Amino acid sequence: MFAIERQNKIKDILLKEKRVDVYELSQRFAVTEVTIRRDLDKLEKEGYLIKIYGGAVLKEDFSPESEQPVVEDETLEEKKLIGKIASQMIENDEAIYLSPGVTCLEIAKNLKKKKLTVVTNDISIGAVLKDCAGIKTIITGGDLIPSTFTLVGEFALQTMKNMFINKAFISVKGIHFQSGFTVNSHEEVRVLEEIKKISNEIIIVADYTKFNNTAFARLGDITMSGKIITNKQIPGEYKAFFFENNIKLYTTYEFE
Amino acid sequence: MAVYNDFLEMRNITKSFNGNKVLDKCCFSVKQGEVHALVGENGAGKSTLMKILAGLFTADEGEILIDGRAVSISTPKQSQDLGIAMIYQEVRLFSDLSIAENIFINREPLKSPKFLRLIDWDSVYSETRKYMKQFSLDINPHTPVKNLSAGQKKFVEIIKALSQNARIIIMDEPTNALTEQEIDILFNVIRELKSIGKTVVYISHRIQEIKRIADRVTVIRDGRIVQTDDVESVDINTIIKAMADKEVDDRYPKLNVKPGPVIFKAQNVNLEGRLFDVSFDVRKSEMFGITGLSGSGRSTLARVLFGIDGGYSGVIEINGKKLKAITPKIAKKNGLCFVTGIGTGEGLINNMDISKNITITDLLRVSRLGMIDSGMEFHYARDFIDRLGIQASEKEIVDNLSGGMQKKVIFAKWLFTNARILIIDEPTAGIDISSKVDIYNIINELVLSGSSIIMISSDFPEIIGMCDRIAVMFNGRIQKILQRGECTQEKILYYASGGK
Repeated sequence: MFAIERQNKIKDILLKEKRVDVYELSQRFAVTEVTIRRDLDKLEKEGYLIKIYGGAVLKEDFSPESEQPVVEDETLEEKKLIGKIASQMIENDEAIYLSPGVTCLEIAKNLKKKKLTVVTNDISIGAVLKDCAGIKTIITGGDLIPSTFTLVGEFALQTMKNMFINKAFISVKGIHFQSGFTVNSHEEVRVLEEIKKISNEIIIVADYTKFNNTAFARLGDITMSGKIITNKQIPGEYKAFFFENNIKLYTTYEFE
Repeated sequence: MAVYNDFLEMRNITKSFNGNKVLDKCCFSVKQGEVHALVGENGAGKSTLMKILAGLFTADEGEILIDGRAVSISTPKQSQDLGIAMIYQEVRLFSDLSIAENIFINREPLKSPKFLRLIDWDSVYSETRKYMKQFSLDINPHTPVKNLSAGQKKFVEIIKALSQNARIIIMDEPTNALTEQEIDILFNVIRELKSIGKTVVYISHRIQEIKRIADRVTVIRDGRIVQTDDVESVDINTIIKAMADKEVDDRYPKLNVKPGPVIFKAQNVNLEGRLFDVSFDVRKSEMFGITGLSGSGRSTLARVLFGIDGGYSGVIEINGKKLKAITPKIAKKNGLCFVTGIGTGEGLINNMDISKNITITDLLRVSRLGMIDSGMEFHYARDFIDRLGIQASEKEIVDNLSGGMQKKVIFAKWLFTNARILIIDEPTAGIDISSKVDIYNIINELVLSGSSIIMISSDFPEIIGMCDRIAVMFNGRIQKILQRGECTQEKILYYASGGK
């Protein structure tokens, strides 16, 4: 059954029994607890329930307009989907690079059960990976760009000497036919150029809002990478272009 | 058909862009009245060479001769005046104008007295009708171009070229967006062109088609002409080898998903005179491909597996359950579904909107008290439209959708039934490139979430690019099942032509 149906049934149960339990629901609907938690998240956002430890209770004075969620990243869902596909491409015992940003952060969140080496110059990504037993995390040194989690500069470049990376996941701020792949600053470009030199494969990741956008610093042509992971909402001309230029374009879909 | 001397000759054509040499001393000649295929990988230079002929680029070095006389082609008009017509991959017609208006645009016959510049519309339409009749095309010349299928638009462009007295028509990847039926019609049109003395240059990367339609074939690779052969006498495998030392499957977004246990098995399936001893199994989260040349039995096999064609013998097993005499109803109940081609009329119900088409496979889900709840219908449909990226309203009639959108609606229809095994017949035939990429990614997500795909395709690069294992059929039999890593176009052709 589909998510909407399940969520509707959960609402029915809540109305009758006033509370639900994650484990019971997962057994009843024969889905994982993660799936049930996602359902409960959604229903909480819509104001039907309040989550408690192990389950949720019906929100008695339910009104749809209350409980507006804190303004989040509009494309967080899309970034999560990208994270899922990217993690699917990573095999155990590989050495990967994750570039700064929320998109790669979402990739990191999907790596919990893997055994690998992750190199990054984003300190928040390092933090997310700290409790992953099988992952050897290497955070480069460097100067922290103010108001960001990104490390750049001579010390960052130093860390990367004598390293070899199997797959580098590079997140960009702009993807445009003429201006190519662009990021915020030239310091970031400098680090990424070094990454390009030591990596076997570059995979560009970006949510759909980055298309037809141009940021300040140019990283390269849009044909510089053989694989791109983004979302299905990108303009059709880009889909056709990448296909015709022998570049694998992965776009995310969600069916559950 | 008598064939004259080289009517068109390109000698030592060299061209660079920004210091990159794109064409290197290319020599290419075409005889009048022949169909000459120009094949090569993407980026090999075939389009550039032809664009020089079409007046879009000028060569840095080299010369072009027509009827033995050197000519200069620096503008598209000069090219056209010499009788060269180019039909591009993208449609270059005015979609809101009719077929006839497009053909005669800027050249409309005038009524007398001519200085009044009144267009003789009767003439316009009767001339157009004449051309269409000549090529056995049964379409009303008043039809606005936007209402035509991809194939029909191609034919209009060919007729337009002819009406401008083209002697040589260059077609750049003409079959990319056509269904198999439309390809057959196109080939008939090309044969008709030959019979009236026209010359055709056919640019393509699809080897199977070359065999069917071309007289000679020239291979271009990395900006150089490699060889020219007579199609009849050459071995297609040498053509493939000459084209590249790497496969053209780099563009397919394949995701490597670890397959699970076997969920589908066909054992000794026989259909009187059509299928012989077909056996194979498919695992969970696997993409299993079935391919072969025209007439190999692949489409028949698909219909038998889903139960459309009965009267077969053998066993079909789904999730360990042996099913005798499978029917579409039994198949559906067991999570097996059949995503048909868009041109076949079996996938969608015409004149019905998207939401009805999607929910028709399981009306119980959208019914309350025995009556269909349209609110629920639209609700589910909107959800699918969102998830699959179908750019239309749920109330839109399916006939008005493009090929790619229609295909997605067919997918939505089957996803609505929670199908776990999808038999997909020609997943991207007749669909524009952007939608092709969408379909590949939709299939990826299906596989990631645990479904299995049985993909039937005549597009060899596609099936090599996307599938984990590929069954090659010949004359109703599976000749060989190839693993992903070992599969090449040559191997497929070998088994598809009867190799053992």
